[in-house]
Amino acid sequence: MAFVQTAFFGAFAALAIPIIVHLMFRMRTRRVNLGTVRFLREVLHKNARRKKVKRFVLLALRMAGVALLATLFARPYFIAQGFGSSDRLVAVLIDRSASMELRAGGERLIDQAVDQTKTIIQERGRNARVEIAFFDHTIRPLGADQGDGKANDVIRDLIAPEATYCSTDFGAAFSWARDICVKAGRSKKELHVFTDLQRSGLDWSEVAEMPDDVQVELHDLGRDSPNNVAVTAVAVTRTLVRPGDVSTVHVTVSNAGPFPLKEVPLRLFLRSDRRTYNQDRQVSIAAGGLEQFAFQVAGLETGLWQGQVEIEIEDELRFDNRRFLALMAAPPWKVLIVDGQPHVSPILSETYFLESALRLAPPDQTYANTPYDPKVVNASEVAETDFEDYALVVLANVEGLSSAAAKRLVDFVDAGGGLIVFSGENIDSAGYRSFESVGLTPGTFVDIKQADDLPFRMQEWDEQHSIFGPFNDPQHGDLRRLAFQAYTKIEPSPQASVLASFRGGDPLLLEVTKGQGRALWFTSSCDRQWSDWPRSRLYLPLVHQMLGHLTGLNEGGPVRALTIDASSGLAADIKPGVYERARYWEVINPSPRESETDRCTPMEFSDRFALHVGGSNSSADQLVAAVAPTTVELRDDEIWHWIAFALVGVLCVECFLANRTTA
Amino acid sequence: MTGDQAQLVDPVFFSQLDNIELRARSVVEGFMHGLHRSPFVGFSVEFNSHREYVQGDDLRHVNWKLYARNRRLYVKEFDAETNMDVYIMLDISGSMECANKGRSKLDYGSALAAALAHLALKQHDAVGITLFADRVISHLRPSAKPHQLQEILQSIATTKARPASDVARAFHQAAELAPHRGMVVLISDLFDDVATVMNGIEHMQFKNHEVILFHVLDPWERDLPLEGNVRFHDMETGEEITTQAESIREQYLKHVNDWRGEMAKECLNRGVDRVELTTDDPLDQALLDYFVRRSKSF
Repeated sequence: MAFVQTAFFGAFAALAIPIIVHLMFRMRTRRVNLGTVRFLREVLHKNARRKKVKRFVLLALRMAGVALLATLFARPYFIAQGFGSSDRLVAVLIDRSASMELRAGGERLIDQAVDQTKTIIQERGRNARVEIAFFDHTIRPLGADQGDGKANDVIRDLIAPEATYCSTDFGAAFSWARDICVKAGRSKKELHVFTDLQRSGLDWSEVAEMPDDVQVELHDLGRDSPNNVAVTAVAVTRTLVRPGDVSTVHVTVSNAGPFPLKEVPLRLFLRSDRRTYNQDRQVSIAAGGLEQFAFQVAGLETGLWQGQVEIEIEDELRFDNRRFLALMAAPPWKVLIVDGQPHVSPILSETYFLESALRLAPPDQTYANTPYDPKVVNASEVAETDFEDYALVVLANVEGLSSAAAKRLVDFVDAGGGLIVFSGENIDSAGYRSFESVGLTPGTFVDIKQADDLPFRMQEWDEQHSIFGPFNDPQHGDLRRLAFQAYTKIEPSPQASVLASFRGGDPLLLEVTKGQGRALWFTSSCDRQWSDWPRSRLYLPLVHQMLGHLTGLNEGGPVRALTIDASSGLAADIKPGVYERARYWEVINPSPRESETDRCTPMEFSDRFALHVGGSNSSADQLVAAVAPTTVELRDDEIWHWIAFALVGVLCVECFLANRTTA
Repeated sequence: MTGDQAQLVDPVFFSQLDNIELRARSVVEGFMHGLHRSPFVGFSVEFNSHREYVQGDDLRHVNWKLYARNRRLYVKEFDAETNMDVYIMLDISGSMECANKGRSKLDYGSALAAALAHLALKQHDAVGITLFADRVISHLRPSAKPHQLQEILQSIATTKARPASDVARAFHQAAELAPHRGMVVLISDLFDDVATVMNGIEHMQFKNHEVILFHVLDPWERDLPLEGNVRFHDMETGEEITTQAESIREQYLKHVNDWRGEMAKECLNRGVDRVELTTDDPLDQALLDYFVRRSKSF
């Protein structure tokens, strides 16, 4: 068994507490004189021995409780396996982050690291076990050499990766190495770390506590002041533009080399299905400088435009010479609003407020940047409408659809379309029977609930859902203030998700997934018939959040940017580029931190990770360091929960015994 | 010990005792006229029987009426009433110094002894005192002299308590020091085996003494009204027992009550008056109640 937080063993000093309490209990007595204690003796005689034993058992239980508590905080874990007859462990960590592509002496740093690792394998002593892992923001262990004469197999399998795009996370690497070293038991342990000591790696990495008997040998392979020019950032003012509109691409270029750049070409390249778009400019950057440049992009046709910004220069790190970008040139999403209760006066119709909220402009006016292009039709016109022309369909208090129209609408949703149904007095289960048969209704329609005196109000909603995310900030409005005079009570089906509900638990907003599409059911009306909601300042943002959820705008829109690092959740071997996902495109670029070639000294490195420098023994500022502990995250093989169970058991027995041990 | 004999004398209490009598239930061997029946037949007040006249009998006691009927001379015999010897035996062992309610059992017993001595002397009975612990420590022979009370008080006040107690041994010694039948008043907490105590009492009864037992206890010894962790100290042996009082009270009371019940039963079987007192009982009231109850039995 080993322990994560050995410092907590100091808490064993607290074992003295129950002993002191025990002694104080015995000392804190009042003295009473009696003519004789023969009757007391008679009383106590029978149980004296048993009670004495009980008292000591009680003391032992209390001491065990304290010891278990200390052990609990020390976070023990079982060593899963030992190393058999191996009496020496050699663990090797090889930095394979993007910056290790740098060349020194005509050879990549990572190649040098692999070569030196092979030398370590060959020169290890008998009965030595070698564990090797590459690391960037994840750890990738290779097979272990058990010291059984199969070193050649390990050397053969040890091949440096061709290209890396990941950032550095020393924490993950040290956690793996620490586990290996702890499992080695009493063997002599060495840890070799091959890295370029990137300063940017110091900022966020965390290290695990390394056993004191591990000799850490740091192999610094990096070079000072490498000639690296990098495109460190590409930001598009609007990734979703109207066809023909102008968008600006801001590019940040850094020159980490010792010499200034003069008139170096910087190229923006975009392509769509049918056309390409190029724009070049000459840039000059001072040595060690950082400059921003802008490209005006205009006249893009409808469609996805993907490409890259690249600086054309021969430097020593090529992975960061370009960054990918994408833009979507598209008209607003067309929204079909079916009015179930039209009125001759537009303001009294069912969809007046909804249409205004989507159009973002007064009647007879337009707003160019609205993401939605609503069109209102009567329920009788639905039969003649082709849903394929729309991204979203909204049914506002529509009594029902013909079975043909309903089938087309179901197919529309199944193919990825969005549907929103607002309730009203026309809604009942009969009109939506065709929806119900295909699982598009959120449940069973019960009846219409009318408020008697106090209005209905929202009570709970899913704060993690993208619709309600912005409302978690109280300054964005309190949804509980929305007042509803009536709603259609729906008993939700197991397939439906209740996103918001009234006081009392009846659902207000439900979501149903059908094929690739989704449908939202709002159990109150979107006009003023059943609520004052349309007059609220929360009407417009909530409506837009609902539509944004169905169109993907809430999650970032059709083009979403990601950086390759530990927090992105991307696969470790993914390469930069533009990838098409289910309903959007991902633009993936390497972390700009990897372009920072500024290096720290071994001493800074040891200070950052609380290392105690033990010496230097290599040609490239190698040093031996003993690792001092900081903190670690929870391990899978920890057994603290069993200790907690044992502690609870001890406390229960202690309580049971204490209540029965009085004399 | 009391320290000052003046403390043993409460004039108010003593004045209350002036109105009652300490009567022996059995005959006592006094040589002075007193309240108590004597084993000696004399010519006193109370008629006993007739016997035939013998030469030398006082002719004043001849029953002439009987002679007229039977033509034989008979003389009347009367019971003689005499004084008695009262032997007060006071336990001065260490356990009697227990004073959890402000007054020790020894103080209480000393006051009780003084009151009894006063009562006996008032009715011209001879009274003596025997102080004992593991043996008889001091013995003052019974006397009806006027200054006997002062000597008794002096004896009580000057004798120091002894740590150990051996009731049986002391009783046997005391019994040998009481040659004339009379009344033995035992004042003790009797923390000894009941059989041992009764053995000593039987010795006294064998000597034809009437035995009155004043069983003095400390209230805490009897009821143990304590809470919490307590270190009990045995005043005779020095033994200490630490325990939580409330946890053993029930069993303790059972043991004490069994002991008290057995003591009462054995006393009853032997015709011994047993009066149980605790040091928080008002002595005057307790004593008066007993004497009133006792007087009704004659």
